[in-house]
Order: sequence, then structure tokens, then C-alpha cells
Amino acid sequence: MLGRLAWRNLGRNRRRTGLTAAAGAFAALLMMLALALARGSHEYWIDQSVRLYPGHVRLALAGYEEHGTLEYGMRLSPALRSALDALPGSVGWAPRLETWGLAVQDADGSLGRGAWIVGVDPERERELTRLFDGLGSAELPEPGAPGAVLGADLARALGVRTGESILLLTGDYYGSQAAERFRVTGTLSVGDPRFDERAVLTHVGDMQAFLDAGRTVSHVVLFAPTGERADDLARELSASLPGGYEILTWPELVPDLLQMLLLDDAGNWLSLSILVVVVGFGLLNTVLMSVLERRREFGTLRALGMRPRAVFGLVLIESLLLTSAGIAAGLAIAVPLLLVLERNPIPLTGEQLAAAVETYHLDPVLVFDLSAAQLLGTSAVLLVVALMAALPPALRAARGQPREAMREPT
Amino acid sequence: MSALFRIAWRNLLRGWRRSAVVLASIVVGLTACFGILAWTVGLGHNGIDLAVRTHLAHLAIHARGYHADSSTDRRIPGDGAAVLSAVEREGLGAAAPRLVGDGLVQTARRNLSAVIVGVDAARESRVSSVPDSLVEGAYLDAAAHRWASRLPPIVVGEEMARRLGAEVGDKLVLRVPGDAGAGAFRVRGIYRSGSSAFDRSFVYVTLADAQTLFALGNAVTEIALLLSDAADAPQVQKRLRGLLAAEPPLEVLRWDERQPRLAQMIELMDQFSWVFYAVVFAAMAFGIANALLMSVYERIREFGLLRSMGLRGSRILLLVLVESFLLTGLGTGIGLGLAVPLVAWLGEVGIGMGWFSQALGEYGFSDRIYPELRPGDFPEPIGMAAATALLAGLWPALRAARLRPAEALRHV
Repeated sequence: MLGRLAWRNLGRNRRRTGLTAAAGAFAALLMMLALALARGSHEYWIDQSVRLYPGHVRLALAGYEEHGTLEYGMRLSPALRSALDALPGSVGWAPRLETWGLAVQDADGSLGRGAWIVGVDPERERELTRLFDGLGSAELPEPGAPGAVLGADLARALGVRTGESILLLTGDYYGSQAAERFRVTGTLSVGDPRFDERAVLTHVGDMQAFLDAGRTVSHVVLFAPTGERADDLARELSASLPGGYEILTWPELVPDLLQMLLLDDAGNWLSLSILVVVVGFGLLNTVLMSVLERRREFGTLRALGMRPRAVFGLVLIESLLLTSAGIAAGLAIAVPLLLVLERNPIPLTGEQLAAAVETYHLDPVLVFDLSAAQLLGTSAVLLVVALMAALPPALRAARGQPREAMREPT
Repeated sequence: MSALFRIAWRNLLRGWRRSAVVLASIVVGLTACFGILAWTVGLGHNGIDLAVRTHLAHLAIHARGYHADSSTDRRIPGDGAAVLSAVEREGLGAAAPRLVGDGLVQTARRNLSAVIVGVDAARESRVSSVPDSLVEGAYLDAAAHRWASRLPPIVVGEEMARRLGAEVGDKLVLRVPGDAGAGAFRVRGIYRSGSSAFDRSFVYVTLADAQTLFALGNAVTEIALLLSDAADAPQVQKRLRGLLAAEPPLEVLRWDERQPRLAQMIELMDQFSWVFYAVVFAAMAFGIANALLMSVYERIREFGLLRSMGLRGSRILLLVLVESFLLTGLGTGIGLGLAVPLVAWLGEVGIGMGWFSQALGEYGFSDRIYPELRPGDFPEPIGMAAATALLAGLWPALRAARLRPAEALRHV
């Protein structure tokens, strides 16, 4: 009965109801879009970053994360290899041997740059990471004939082209000075200055020979089928190995990116709550006005024996119905729109926008991800706001004395 | 007109509850808008300030072509003395010569790539905050060479010291491209600039030691200029270009020309806050339109009476619009009255962002943001508020103006 009464009351002033519901729909739509964008883009960016280099799980000797230097390298023994191969939760692993050094142009010895020299297993990287995705037709370094792929900006700064050679200088595994010539087999550009401006990628075997490092590698990265399975993989790994290792999962490997996205989330929540508050005031006004208009009516209802609790409930139901109509309209637009956007990520074409996103080493693409939990969450938040906004007018309507209320002028 | 204002004002007071709720939504929305704008401007300036004060400076003078290809081959001869004296003679700002080059920092078994900066300690402290940001030891002061060791001094960032496992007094080897190749140094001090990315790669030695290391004689690669007011940069740049026209060929670049992305960031943040404004103002417009519409419907008989007494439709249109503007104007005024002191206070104490310090440090921000509003930040939201008042008021106003007097009078 209360529901029917509430529905009729809303129908009495269609324009007001329409406008208020429209405001609700506007808020619902914007919240759903903003949240789907944040969710989709963040997941996409995390996945892209993790697949560029860090991996889902990283295995190294204890202390490697703190120092990241050669003396924390670990021996990739046949036993360790077969342990890694035997992990059921892993889709593959790749060894790396990293150090910092100087890349010097062969022709002009005074032209050099600090370089991040990484020995990789090109086949494994090609299969597991997107490190070599942008390489095009260039050759990957082959073992035996020391070759290197250079970050494109590094190659430009050194003025070297594919086929020419560079001199790499660094300290070897035992602390002696090491210098060796590497032929440039190609350049790569992945959109992250840590790679484009600094990276020299060689074959891990050549790197081990260059650094006199035997079978030592800096770390091994492992990939799980999805990011969510990384923890399981880390547990498996830790169970199959003796102590003394350091096993980190991707949230610990890209903490700065995760924090940046968290900061973005915080900003989103702040903006959306302001939107909700402003819309909540509009709702409060509508319900308040409709209560003030109906003082006599409420008096009559009370005089006919309706309980104050029922009057209170009536007003709340009106507000909930009104908001639900808005949410329904918002959903009706948001869901089809998101279904389309989900399949068609929007590339950022604006030069400034793209540049800004690239500043954080991210792909300039907006990805939407529709999630039922978010749609429900948004609806729930708006319904709670509807209840809160209706509370003061509902209390007012319920508290009025029937006698006085009926004497009110219309 | 003043009669219109009086009537409009009285009408707003008649439905004071309704007006108060609309007012509250405008005040909350607007204060939040200004708050968020101030925060983004503060964040942008934080990043720029940190970059400018650590290394970028407001203006930098290099040999021509250095910006496109920053090699130590492009140099300014004679310790840059000619340029420095020209800058100082003209009183253009604080200037410091630097020799900047890429190199490798090595301990017994560790290698890290570094940007090696040779500086004149006394001058450097006038253009950079690094000399004042030491967490341990001392900077490259004049006494450095007479210090307990015969090795020349080096100052490194906290992040690099951590990775190298180096402490004050430890020996480091710097290796650079070229014939001279390498030199041993002893850690004299450890600094923390606020940007972990910077602290990981920039190391400082004396200018003379850097010249020896890079075998560059008495050349420098850069003269950094810090101005008392960043806004003067374009004028000073123009004057310098005139002054330095003679040999050798030099280039004078502003910080935003050397780091265009940093400059773009603020513009972009401005654009994002525009989107946010649009959303909040649209939400406010629904509330304003609704309240005015209600008030118009309550007054149909009144409008009929006014019309039949000879008030023209256009005056009634104006009346309702004036109500809309009064309401919005009042809300804007109160919103500004709250936001300006709030931002001023937050700008004094700053907002600690410790939770996000890793990300902020990595992307070159310090973890305390000082919100600020520039004079240019006010006209746009205020203009948008006026546009909102106009758009939200138009529908109710047209409704009121189009009423037929005879029907309106009979309305119950």
C-alpha cells in the first residue's frame, strides 16, 4: 500500500520528479563510467607494466631487492632449472643478468652514456614479455657473437646504427674492470625511458662471459597464467626451494605504479563523492518540498489512523523510488555504452594528454572494464544517499501533529 | 531594475528552506572545485619546483646544440667565466657553472650509472637546493681537499648510497668515457632532494675534479641560472641572448623548453579540473532548475496577477533569471569565502602525502603538497557559475514568462 501511495505521489509532480531523477541518472552514469574507466585502465596498465619486464614473480637471492648488484647474483644450477621447469603454476620463466655500465661509441671513445646492461634469453623473453615486441625485423642477439639491442634513444645519443659496434665498460663479477665490443643488432622503443634511454640487451650467455660470471644470473622472473595467480605461484616456488632466496610478487615489483594508481583512485573517489553530495542536496530539496506541500495530507493520513512510522516510511520509499528510477535510467545508458567501450579502448590522441600519460611510462590508451560489482556498488551508494537525503523531510512529515497539520493553509 | 532585485530577493526568502538547500549544494560544490583545483596546481608546482631547484634551474646556458645532443664535446671554455661575469654584471640572477656528464660509480663489486656533476660549491648553493639537503656529512666546501683524506670528495644521493652500501668516508670509483677514464673519490656527504629518481642518479664533485676526470681542461658544459621570480624567465632569456651573441655560439633555454613535459603537466591538470567543474556544475544546475521550477509553479497565480497588471513577459523572464543569479551568486560568494582561507591555510601547512611517497618520489614529486590558487584560476569557475545560473534559470523563467494571464489567475 505504501509503495502504491509513494508511486502516486511521485507522479503528481512529473516535472520535479523527472528533473530529480535525471540528476540521479546523470550521477549514476558518470560514476559508472568513471569507475569502469579507472578499473579497466588500471588493470591494463598494470598488466602492460608487469609484462614489459618485472614479471608476476621474481626469484633472486635474499638481499637482491635492497641492493640489486652483481654480488647478490645466484647460480642457475641444473637443479634450480629443473625445479623451475617443474612448477605446475608457472607458464614459463626467464633468467636475467643485470648490471650498470658505460656504453661508449666505438669510433669516438669520449662519447658515452650510462647504460643498464641486461643479459636475457631472447627466445624466452619473446614468449613471455613484451620487451622485444617493438623490435621489428632486427635480429635478436645470438649467443657466441656478442650482439646487443639498444634502447632507441640511447642509440641516438651515441650516434650508432644497427651493424655498428659499441664498447661496454663495467666491473665484472669479481670486481675487475671489464670491457668488450658488442655489435648493435637492433634498437627498441617501448615507451619507457628506463629502457629507451638506458637499456643494452644482450644474450645472457654473452653477458655471463663478459662479466666472468659463470652460470650466475641476477634473478629469474616467472609468469603465472594471470596476475591473481601470482601468490599461488610464489608459494609453490618457495615450497620447492631451500631457504636463502627472495621471492617477490608483482605488487612488490612495481610499487610506484601501484601507488600512482592508488592516488588516481583516491582522486576519483574524492571527485565522485563531491558529485554525490551535490546530487544528494538536489534530492533533499525535492523530497523536502514535496513534504512541505503535503502537510495537510499527512495530517489527514494521521487523523485516519496512519502511524507516524508509516508516514516516515512513505517518504523514504518515495525517495528510494525516485532514486531507483534515476539509477535505472543511468544503467540503461551506462551498460550498453560500456559494452561498446569495453571492446573499443579509446586511444589518447591529444598530444598533451598522451605525453602526460607517457610521463608515467604508460600506454596512452583508455580502457573500460564493466564490472557488475561496480554497477551494484554505485547503485547502493546512491540508494544510501537517497535514504540520507530523505531522512530530515521524513522525520518532519512523521512528527507533525494531525490537528495542527490539518489546519495548515495549502 | 532595483525593484526586480527586491522582488527576487523576497521570493528567495519566501522559500528559505528550498533556497538554503540549493545554496548549500552550490557552496559545497564550489568549495570542493576550488579545493581540488588548488591541490592539482600545488602538485604541479611541487614537481616543477623540485626539478627547478635541484638541477633544472630557470635558465641554462649551453654550447649551441647541447639540448639536442648533450655530449661533453659541446662545451663552454674558460670555466664559463665570461658568461658568469656578464650575468653578474647585469644582475640577472644567481648563476653557477657546471660540468655534467654520464659515468659509472663503482665500489669493489657494485656498478651504478650516474650523472656526474662538477660544481663550484659556493655558486651552486645559490642555484640549487641540493647543497642544503644533506642528511649526512658535508657538502663540497672549500675545506674539502684538506679533509682527512687525500682523495677528492664526492656527494651522492641517499638512494644511490643505499644501493652501493656506501657511507660517508667510503671510497668510490668514478668511470667515465674517454681517455682519462677513472678516478677515486671519497664520500663527503649524502643528500636527499625529495625525488628518489634524482637521488639515485646525480652525484656531485668539485668542478676542478670533474674537469680532470673528463679531461676537459677548464671547460664547463652548463651555466645554470636561478631567478628571483620564475615569471621573468622569458625576458631574462631574451636579454641574455642579446648579451651572449658573440663567440662562442651558445644557446639559452628556459626550464620549460628543456623539460616540455613537466610544463605540459600543469596545463593538462588544468584541463582535467575543467572536466570536473563541468560535472559538478551540471549536477548543481539540476538542483537550481528544480528549485526555481517549484517556486515558479507555486507562484502561477502571482505571475498571472503581475501580467494582468501590465508587467510584460520579458520582465517576468528577467525576474526569474535574477532569482537564479542571486542564488548562484550568493552560493559562489560563500563558496569563495570558504575556499580562499581554506586554501591559504593548507598552502601554509601543506598536505602530507606520505602514503604515496614512493610513487611521488619516483615521478619527481616530494611528498608534501602545498595547495595554491593563482589569480587566473578564479574567472573560469566564476564564469561557469554564471553560465550555470543562466542555463538552469532559463527553463523556469520561460515557463513563467509564457503563462497566459487569464489562465494563470484561475490556477489553483
